[in-house]
Amino acid sequence: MRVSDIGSSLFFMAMGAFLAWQSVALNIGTPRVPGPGFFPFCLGLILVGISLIIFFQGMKRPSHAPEKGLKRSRVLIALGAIFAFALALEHVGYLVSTFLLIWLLLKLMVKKAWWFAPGVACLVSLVSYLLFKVWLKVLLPGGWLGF
Amino acid sequence: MEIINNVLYGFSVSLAPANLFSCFVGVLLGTLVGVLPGLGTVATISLLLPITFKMSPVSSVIMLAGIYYGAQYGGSTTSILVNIPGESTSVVTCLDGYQMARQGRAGAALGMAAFGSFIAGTLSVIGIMLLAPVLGKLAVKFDAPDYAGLFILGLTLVAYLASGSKIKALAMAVVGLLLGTIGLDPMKGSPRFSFGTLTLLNGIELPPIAMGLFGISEVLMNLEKKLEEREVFKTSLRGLFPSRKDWRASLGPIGRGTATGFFLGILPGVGAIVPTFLSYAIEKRISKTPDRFGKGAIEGVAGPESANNAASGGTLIPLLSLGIPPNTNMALLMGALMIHGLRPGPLLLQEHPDVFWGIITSMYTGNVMLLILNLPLIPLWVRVLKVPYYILFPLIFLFCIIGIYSVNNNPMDIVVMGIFGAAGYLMRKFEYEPAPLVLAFVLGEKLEEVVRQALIYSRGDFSIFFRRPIAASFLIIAILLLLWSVYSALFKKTPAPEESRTA
Repeated sequence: MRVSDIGSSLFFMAMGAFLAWQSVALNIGTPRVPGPGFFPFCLGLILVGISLIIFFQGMKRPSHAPEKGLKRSRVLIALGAIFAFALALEHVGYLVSTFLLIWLLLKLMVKKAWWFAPGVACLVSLVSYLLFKVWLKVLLPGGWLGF
Repeated sequence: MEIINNVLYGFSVSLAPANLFSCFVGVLLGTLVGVLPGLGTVATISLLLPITFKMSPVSSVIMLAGIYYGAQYGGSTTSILVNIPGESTSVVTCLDGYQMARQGRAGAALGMAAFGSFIAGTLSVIGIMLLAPVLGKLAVKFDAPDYAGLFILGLTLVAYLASGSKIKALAMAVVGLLLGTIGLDPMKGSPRFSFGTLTLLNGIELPPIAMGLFGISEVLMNLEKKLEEREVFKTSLRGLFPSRKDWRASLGPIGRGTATGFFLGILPGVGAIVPTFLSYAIEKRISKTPDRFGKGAIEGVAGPESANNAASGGTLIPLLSLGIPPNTNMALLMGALMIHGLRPGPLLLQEHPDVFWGIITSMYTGNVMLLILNLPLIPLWVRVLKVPYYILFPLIFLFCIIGIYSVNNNPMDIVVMGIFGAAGYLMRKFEYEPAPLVLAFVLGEKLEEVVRQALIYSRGDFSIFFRRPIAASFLIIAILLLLWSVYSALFKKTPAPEESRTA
């Protein structure tokens, strides 16, 4: 029994069932006059069917040896940083939020002298600011401080 | 001579300064990402997709296609010098290429890889010129049900040829189709699955999905691992021109590799990886001295390197003539065309011959540029290889974020990309392939349209899909493949986990 298969198949089964149910509310119509819900309704049901197969396949497959030595926390922090960046960008401005993002990512990945991460982050944010905003004229938000 | 006129017309488009420049940028970037392990063409093309919105449709597709075939040149460089394939399509090149480098023949290996790629690229361009218009003319006769059959067969083939579980790949294709239904109904304009949010009402766009699934998740996968140091093999790069003996040994493999790559590349789902393995196997089989393979045989470099380049040309055929992207790279190219309001497919040749012939001839100019660029730039690529991952990954993150934000100046797009980044990470962990999802997403809207059109036309009679010979034959093949996948998922002994193939 492979837990990852069973878990993911249950997730997709729920997703298919939910979307098929939502499609009914959208008006499925008839095959003669298919409504907006027709196509997603069929797809939802197909997804439920396929998930069932994955589920049974997962019952048969041997379980997986867990990978060792992985730093899962880094992945979570990096993902959190993306979402935080999206929320902060228009308030704090491009330069500050990029500086913080790169600093955090560098800190996650390497151990170097204390000045390395903030130094590189400073360089990256300044150069990218000049490149994108000044040279390529990409509209990047300024935030409270104006840059 | 119609074809010669067309080709000349194509060159008049692709040699225009703006297009020539975007071709140059494309092949240069392509070689660069080919050299860098860990950054693939799909991630790069999705990264650059937003930038091309401001360019003309021809220039943008010329650039994006350049990245795709340029990477096939770059990938071989790292395989030969470092024994790390920069692209999955040059895995095989490691076998003999690296051995040649260790014997001090790095120059000959690199040179033959570049020349082989050039010859294969050139021949495949000629193949496209001859084949794509013919297919396109055939496809003009297609009606809604035939298209429905063709799209369904295309999606099934992609799932069927997936390297992991076929049934999981199918699930991903269905999820991709479902994602495509979010937003406004294409025929009636009523909102679907928007759950009261404005972001979902407009539908999800291709760039955040592709960048999340391929760019962000790639970095996430690498973040959790311990960083490795790469060691560049120190060797003299003198003598990039292969000797006469090398040429004699390589001409056959180049020809066979080109044919293998080109014709397999046309099939949906095959892509450029399978032909490289096949070409290597063929050369080893017919060689009089098969024991030389794996110990620095130049045939083992020339064949596969030609195969991957020819395949990247072949994959353009179904995209341009039928409107079916055979792999993820082509799906992104199709996305780029559609964003500019062009519909890849049989009508493209009639409505926009400039786009059609411009792209094809640009591949020829691109191949010339790659040959001229690559040989002198190899020392530079070797130095690029020394850029450490801990600098590279934050930069990829940043480029993804800026790229996606600049499309609509909407921070919500960054959030959507982050969600798909997390989804892509989980999919890799749970052994689901992202490629069928993206392909289905791109095809989804059109598929829904043709299915509904066909049903309205037949007044709700499903047998319309089986009464027309073209539609019926596509669908029957698709159904057979589906049944076989379901059967093998449930009743066949599951093979050992495909650990080695998940690179």
